[in-house]
Amino acid sequence: MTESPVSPLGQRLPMVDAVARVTGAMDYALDIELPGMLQTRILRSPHAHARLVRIDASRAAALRGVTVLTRDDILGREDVNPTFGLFIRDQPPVALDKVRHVGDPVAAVAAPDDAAAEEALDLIEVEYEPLPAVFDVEAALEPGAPILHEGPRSLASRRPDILARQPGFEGTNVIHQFIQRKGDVDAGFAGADEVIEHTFYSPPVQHVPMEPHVVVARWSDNRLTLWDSTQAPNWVQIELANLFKLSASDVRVIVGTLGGGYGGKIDPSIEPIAAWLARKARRPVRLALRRDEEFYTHTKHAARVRIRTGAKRDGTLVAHQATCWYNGGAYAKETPEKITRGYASMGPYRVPNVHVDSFGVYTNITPSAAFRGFGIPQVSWAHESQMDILADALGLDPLELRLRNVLKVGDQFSTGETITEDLHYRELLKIAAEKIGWSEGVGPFREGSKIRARGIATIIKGMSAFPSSAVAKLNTDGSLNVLTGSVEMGQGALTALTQIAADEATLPMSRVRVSTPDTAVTPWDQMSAASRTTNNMGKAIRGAVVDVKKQLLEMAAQRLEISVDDLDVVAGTVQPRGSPDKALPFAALLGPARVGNLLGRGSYQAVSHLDLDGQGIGSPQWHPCVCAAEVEVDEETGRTTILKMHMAVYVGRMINPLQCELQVEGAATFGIGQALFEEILWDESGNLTNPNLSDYMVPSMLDLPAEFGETILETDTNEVHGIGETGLPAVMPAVGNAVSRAIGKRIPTLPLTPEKVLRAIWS
Amino acid sequence: MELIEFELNGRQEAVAARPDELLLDLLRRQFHLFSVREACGIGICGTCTVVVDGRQASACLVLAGQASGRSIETAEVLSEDGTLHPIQQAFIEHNAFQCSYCTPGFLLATRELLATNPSPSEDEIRQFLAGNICRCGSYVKIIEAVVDAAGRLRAQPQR
Repeated sequence: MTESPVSPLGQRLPMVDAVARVTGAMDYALDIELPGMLQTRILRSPHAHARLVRIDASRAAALRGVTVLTRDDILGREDVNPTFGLFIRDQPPVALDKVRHVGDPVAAVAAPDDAAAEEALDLIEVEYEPLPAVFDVEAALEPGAPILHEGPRSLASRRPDILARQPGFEGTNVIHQFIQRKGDVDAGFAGADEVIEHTFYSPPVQHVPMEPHVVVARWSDNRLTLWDSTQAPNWVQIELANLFKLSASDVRVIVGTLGGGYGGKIDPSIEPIAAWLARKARRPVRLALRRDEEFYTHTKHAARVRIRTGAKRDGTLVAHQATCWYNGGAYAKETPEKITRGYASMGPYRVPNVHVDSFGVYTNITPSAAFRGFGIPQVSWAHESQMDILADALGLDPLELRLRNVLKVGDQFSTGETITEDLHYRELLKIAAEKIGWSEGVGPFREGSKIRARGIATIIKGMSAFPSSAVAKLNTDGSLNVLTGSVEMGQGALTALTQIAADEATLPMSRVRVSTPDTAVTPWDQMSAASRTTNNMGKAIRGAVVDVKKQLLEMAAQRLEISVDDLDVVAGTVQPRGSPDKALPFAALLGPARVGNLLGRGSYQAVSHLDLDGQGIGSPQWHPCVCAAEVEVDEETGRTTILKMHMAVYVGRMINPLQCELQVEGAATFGIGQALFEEILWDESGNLTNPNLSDYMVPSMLDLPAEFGETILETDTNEVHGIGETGLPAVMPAVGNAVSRAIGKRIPTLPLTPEKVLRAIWS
Repeated sequence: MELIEFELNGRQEAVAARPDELLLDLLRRQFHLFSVREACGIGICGTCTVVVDGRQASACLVLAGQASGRSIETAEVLSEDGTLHPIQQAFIEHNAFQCSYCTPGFLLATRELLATNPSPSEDEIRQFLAGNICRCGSYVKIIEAVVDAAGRLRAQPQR
């Protein structure tokens, strides 16, 4: 009889590729070396907005071994499309008629080495006619504002709201608008005892993956292969196919491991440049960004969020009105999707009357992209600051106000959908508050120039419903390969998915290998983002393995001449129920059958759909988090120190507690940076003033609170929540609420730098 | 091009290189030592950490010519005999990384810390490793791993 192996589900397992991670042997795209490979440098715009009058690259192109890409290679050709973009095709590989932000690629060269490429860049002559530029959304929406994209728009998405609303935005700087209407907001405010209205601002920040974007491109027989540091290989595949008018089957995107992504590696960005140069040079090309170039490639959306809240005297929320302005930067990227997160602008609360307008706006700064939290941190900074202001106005404890309003099963969310899964908000709030000593009071507690205080915040985060597919391949020796397009970027996807596959297949982890993406081989996965991989791809993998098991059962039924219904799959064998002595190992079934592999297919697509009023299903799952923090503000220096922080997250069922902890700790660290110091700055001409890790600091070990903890709540359920983003959006407002409590002033603008704190104290 | 001779991970090497090439680029291009990774390019983040004559240095700030006559070590040296170093074992068991791009730098910094301070307090660990950035934010687990590694090394001090 074969012992049933302990299921790896729920085990604290280190990553399956941990040895390679500590020996320097991981397969990052930067380590790909191909014979004859050229190195690429990009010539970037010094202007925020300018017409491209003349570009002459002839002297650069005359250098031996140098290949140049300019608009002359793109314009006026029938065999290529000039622009790309996931929703609106508004971005060219290099500038065509004008540049739209400082750092916008103008030309690129490929040369045998970096030095030669740099030398060639210097020989490219460009004449610009500077145009007026706009950097914030107010200026961009004013009548007579300079328009970034004048002409008709090329739509890549057929989403109903895109088709319905886009024609109205042509010739304006509005990228897109999300509208949400529920109940009667005017009646709601009329019936409120307290109405407050405030505006909050989050600045752009950078993802700062330790691995900057890198891609290697190679053409062969008019087919393109990319080794790419992307979170969305299938999106890169279809975008590049569209750009070069190829079949998707002729674009192969291979992804090893990413050195961090955090949303910054979803939208295609540098791939078109590398692919274009490789095609023209007829040589493989590597394009590896340097640190400063990351700041010119993608950022988190800056956002201004104005909220009007109506409440009864007992704290019951009755009306919510919000206008969100997300600064999209120079190109649309994922902005049309991101602005829909205005649906969470009231937070995880029951509010019967809701009125939300959420805009994405073009401006002359680095294009905004997806960023961990995807639009939620911008609104959470607003709604959780607002909740504390409301608590003070009503004379309620901020924790109590939240406890009275958080969503529970049977409540309606802003989307009109009924919450069906217990999200445990009340429990999470109480745990987080207790862990930082809430019952001792929120403060302020003064000792000399140091003031201590406590703050709390809670958020709701959705998950994207996009499709995932997997193929399970049972080998003749009974081991299992799983083909997926999910990307391992440090979040532990490969490990969690291996655990799920091993559990379903009843095999030990060591007999299961989950692949990394190769679009020529692996089935579709929309992207590894939006906290979706463990749940969506996990379910696709289960489906694929179940498909294999079904075939095994049928083979065994024939062999043993008994009904499938009397057979079980146990510990890598098929056995008649109650007769483990007659167990047939997978290998024993496959070998004599002469079938080679058994192949199983699995797909999963969750449902989400919002109508033109923002009503419907916003997300297949809702992810809750609470952060509580105790801070100490030095009123002489303005410096804030986070003394204690506790994160409380509900995740359904954990696949791997160790990896879950890492995600929560990582999200908290991200949040600490954004709460206290991370911010991309630019001067009046749109030049970034801190595009480096000296002037733009990210959290080090010294920024970790002295007391840090997390509670990851799970229940006996089959729901598996992603956890990559959930923690982050609660951190900034928790810290902000504690700082406000300490100094008795509200700072509406992130980050809470010593300068801002001092100005607030002195105001 | 100049002939540059130095000791690399315990072996004598002689290589023709432009003396103004970065040591970081030389180690990757010529020796395929891919644990050495550029992340900031200005010596801030510790990702490209190597050890020069026994002290950690940022390979993005060292010119190839400066390696001449010196001993250079990269993270590959830790497991060169085919077995994992106790620091590596501790990092694995605590999963003290996420994307692990920064991990080689943390390993070498930890080795230097524990060579000079075999029983560091948590505060000393934070101070010493503050020059290494883990953007994924695996700091809690890294501190656990360093404490664990210190214990392992005290138990078998030959490494």
